[in-house]
Amino acid sequence: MIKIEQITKTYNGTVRAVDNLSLTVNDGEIVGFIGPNGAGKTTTLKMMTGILKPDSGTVLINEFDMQKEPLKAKQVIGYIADSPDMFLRLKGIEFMNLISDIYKVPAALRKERIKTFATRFDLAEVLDRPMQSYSHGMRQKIMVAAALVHDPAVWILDEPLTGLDPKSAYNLKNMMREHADAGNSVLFSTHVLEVAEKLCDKVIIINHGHSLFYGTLDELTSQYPDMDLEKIFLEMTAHE
Amino acid sequence: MNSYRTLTKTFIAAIGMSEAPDKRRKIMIIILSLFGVFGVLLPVCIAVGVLVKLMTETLLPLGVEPLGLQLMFHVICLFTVIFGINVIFNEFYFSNDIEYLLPWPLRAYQIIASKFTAAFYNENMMQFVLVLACTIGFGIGAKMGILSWLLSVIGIITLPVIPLAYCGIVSILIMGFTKFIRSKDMIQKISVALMFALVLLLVGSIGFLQNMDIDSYVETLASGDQTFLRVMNIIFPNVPLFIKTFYDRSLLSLLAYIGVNALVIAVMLLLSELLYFRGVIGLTSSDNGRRAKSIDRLLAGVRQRSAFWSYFMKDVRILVRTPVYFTNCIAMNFLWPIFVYAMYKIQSRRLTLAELRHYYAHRDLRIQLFFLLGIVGISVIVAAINSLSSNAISREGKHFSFMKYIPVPYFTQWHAKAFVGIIFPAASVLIYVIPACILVKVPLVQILIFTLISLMAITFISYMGIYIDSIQPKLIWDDEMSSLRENYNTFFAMAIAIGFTLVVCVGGFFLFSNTKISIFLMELLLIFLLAAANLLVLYLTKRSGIRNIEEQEET
Repeated sequence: MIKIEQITKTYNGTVRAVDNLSLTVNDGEIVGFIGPNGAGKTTTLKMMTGILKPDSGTVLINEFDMQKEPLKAKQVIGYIADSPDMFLRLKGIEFMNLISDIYKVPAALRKERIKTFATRFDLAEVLDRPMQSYSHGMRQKIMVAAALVHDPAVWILDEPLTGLDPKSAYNLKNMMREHADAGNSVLFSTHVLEVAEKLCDKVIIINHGHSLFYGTLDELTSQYPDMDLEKIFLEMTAHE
Repeated sequence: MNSYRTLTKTFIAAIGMSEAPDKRRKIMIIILSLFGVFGVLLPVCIAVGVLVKLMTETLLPLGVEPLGLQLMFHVICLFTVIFGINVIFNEFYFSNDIEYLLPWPLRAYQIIASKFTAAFYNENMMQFVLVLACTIGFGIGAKMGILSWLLSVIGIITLPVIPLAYCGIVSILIMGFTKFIRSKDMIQKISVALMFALVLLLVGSIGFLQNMDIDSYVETLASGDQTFLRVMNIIFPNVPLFIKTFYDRSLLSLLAYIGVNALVIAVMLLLSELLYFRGVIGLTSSDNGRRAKSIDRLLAGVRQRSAFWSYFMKDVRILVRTPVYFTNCIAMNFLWPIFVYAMYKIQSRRLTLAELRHYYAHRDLRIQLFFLLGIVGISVIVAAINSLSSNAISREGKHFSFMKYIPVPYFTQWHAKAFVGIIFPAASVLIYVIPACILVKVPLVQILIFTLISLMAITFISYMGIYIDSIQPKLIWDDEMSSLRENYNTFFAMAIAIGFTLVVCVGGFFLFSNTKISIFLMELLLIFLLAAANLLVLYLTKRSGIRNIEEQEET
C-alpha cells in the first residue's frame, strides 16, 4: 500500500511543484497518475521513492515511513524512472545482476526471473551486450525487468509504457493487472488516457502540484456526463 | 556570426558548476576556493615567476634574456597540445549535443568555431595564470617598461590559441580520413593513444639528452646553442612573436602575432568546412559485434554477491569501459614513473642504483627519509590526480537518483566508491614501489611499513575526495569529459592533496633535520598522523558527508 499525506515540495524556495497532496493506493489497486507536463507527477513519484525529500508531509510504503525507515520502504518498491538511459556501459545481464544483488535476490530465484523477463520482453539476445547498443525501447524493457526482478510488492512506474513495442506494452499491462490482482499496489504516471481508462481502478488528476480529482473512472465520468475522458481531462486542467 | 555567437554563449553557459543550494555548502565552497587559490595556485605561480625571473637575470648580462621566458612558453604550449588533444576530440566529435546540432542549418565552421571558443574558454584558465606568472617574472627580471606591460596583455590571454588550434586541425584530419572507423569508443582510444604518445615523446626527448639539467641548460642557452628553441620556434611561431611584441615593443611583431593566430584558425575552419561533416556523421556507440552468449550460458555464471561488491564492480566497469574515464582515472595512475624519470633526468646530480643500495645498506638516513617521504608524496598525489574519488558522485550525473532510491545505506555506497579510489592508485604505487625497494635491497619490514603508510595515505585522499565532491557535485554534464574537466572538486581535492604533501614532506624533512630523530620514529609519527587524518575524514563523512548526499537534489 502507498499512502502519502499532505506532501509539499518547493524548488529553490519559490516554485511549488507539489502542494499539500494526499493519496492512497490500496493493495489490489492500479492507480493512474495523470496530469499535464510540469504538473508535479514525477516530483511526487520521486518523493515516494526517497529520491526527493518532501518539505512537509509523510510517505508510507507498506506501513514503512520513507523518512524514518527508508531502507525498509525502498526494499519493497519497484521503481522505473522516467529515463531508461542508465549505466549504458554495463551489459544487460550485469545491470540485472547489480539490481538483484542490491535487493538481495538469491541466485536461483533471479535466474528464473531473468529468464522469464527475457522471454516476455524478447531480451534474451541482447543481455550479453552493453546497454549502450540498445534501442530506446530495449533500454526501457531492461529497466522494467530490472525494477521488477526482486518481485516488489509496490510498483511505482514513471511513464513505463513509453518506447515499448506493442507486444511488450501488452505484456507489461498484463503484468500490472496480475500484480494488483495478487493483492499488491501499482501506481504509474501516464499521458495516454486510453491506457488509464482500460487499466486503472482509480485515477488521480493533478495540475500545478495539487489534486483535481481522485477516484474511480466511473465517479469521474458521472461528474461530466456526455464527455469522454480526453475532454474531461482538458476541461479540468483548462480551468486550473 | 549570429549563429556563432548564440552557439558559443550556449556552450559556455553549460560549463561550470551550479550554485550551492544552502548557506552551509556555500561557505564550504568559498573556503575550498580560497584554499585552492591562495594555498596552491598562488604559490605555484610565484614559484614559476621566480624561476623565470632568476633565468632572466642570469641571461641578462649575456644579452639573451628572453630565452628563458621563451623556453617556459614553449613548454606551456607543448603541454597545452598534450592535454588539449583529448579535450578537443571530445568537444568536436563526442559531446552529446552534436546529434542535436547536426540537423540544424549550420555550417561546419560555425559549429567548430563555437566549440573551439568554448573549449578555449574552459581550458585556458591554468595556462592563463602560468603565462601571466612567467610574464611578471620576466618583466621584473628584465625591468620592463609600462608600454611593454601593456603590449603583453594580448599574448597573455591568447598564447594557447595556436596549440589548441593544432589539436583541432589534427582531430579534423584524423576524423576526416578514417571513415573506416566509426565507433566512438575506438576513436576515443586513438585520441588517448595520441596523447600518451606525445607524453612519451616528450619524456623520451628528455631521456636522450644525457646531460640535460636545468643549470646546464641555461648555460647551453647562454653559449649560443639554441637548437631546441629553434625547432620549437618553428612549431610555435606565436611564442617568439609574442615576446618580441612586448619586449622589443614591435608593432610589426604584434601584427605578425595576430596574423599567425588568424592564419592557424583560418586553416582549422577551412578544414572543418571540408572535412567536419564527413568525419562526424555516422559515428556510432555500438558494441564490438562480438558474438553474444546464450541466456543459459549467461545465467549459468550468475552468483549472488553483496550489495557493496556489486556496487563497487558497477563503478569499476563503467570506469574501465568509458575511454575518457579509463584515460584520466585509471591509466593516469600508472603513468607517474614516467614523470619521476623525467624529474630524475633534469637533476644535475643523479644517483646510480649501486649508490642507492650502498647508501641504504649503510643506513644513510637522508636516503631512507627520501624513500619514506617520497612514498607518501607519490601515494597522495597519485590518489588525487586520478579524480577517481573527487569525481565519484559527480560521475553519477543524471543517474544520481539511483543512489537515493536503492535500499543500500549511503555509507555503504560511500565505502564502495572509496574502495574504487583506493584500489587503483594502491595497485599503481605498490607495483612500482615494491620492486624498486627490492632492487635497492630495502629490508622486508621497511617494505611492509612503506606499504602500510602508502595505503593509509591513499585511503585518506580517497575519502577526502568523495567528501569534497559531496559538498557540491557536478551532476549536470553533457559528456564524461565535461564531468571531469568542468568539475572544480577535482581541483579542490588536488589542492588539499598538494597542501598535505607539502606539510608532511617539508615538515618531515625539517623535523628530521633539526631533531635527528630515528627513521623508525618518523615512520611511527607518520602512521599516527595518517591515522588521525583518516579518522577525521571518516568523522566528517558521518557528520556531514552523508547529509550532503541526502540533501542533494538532482538539479
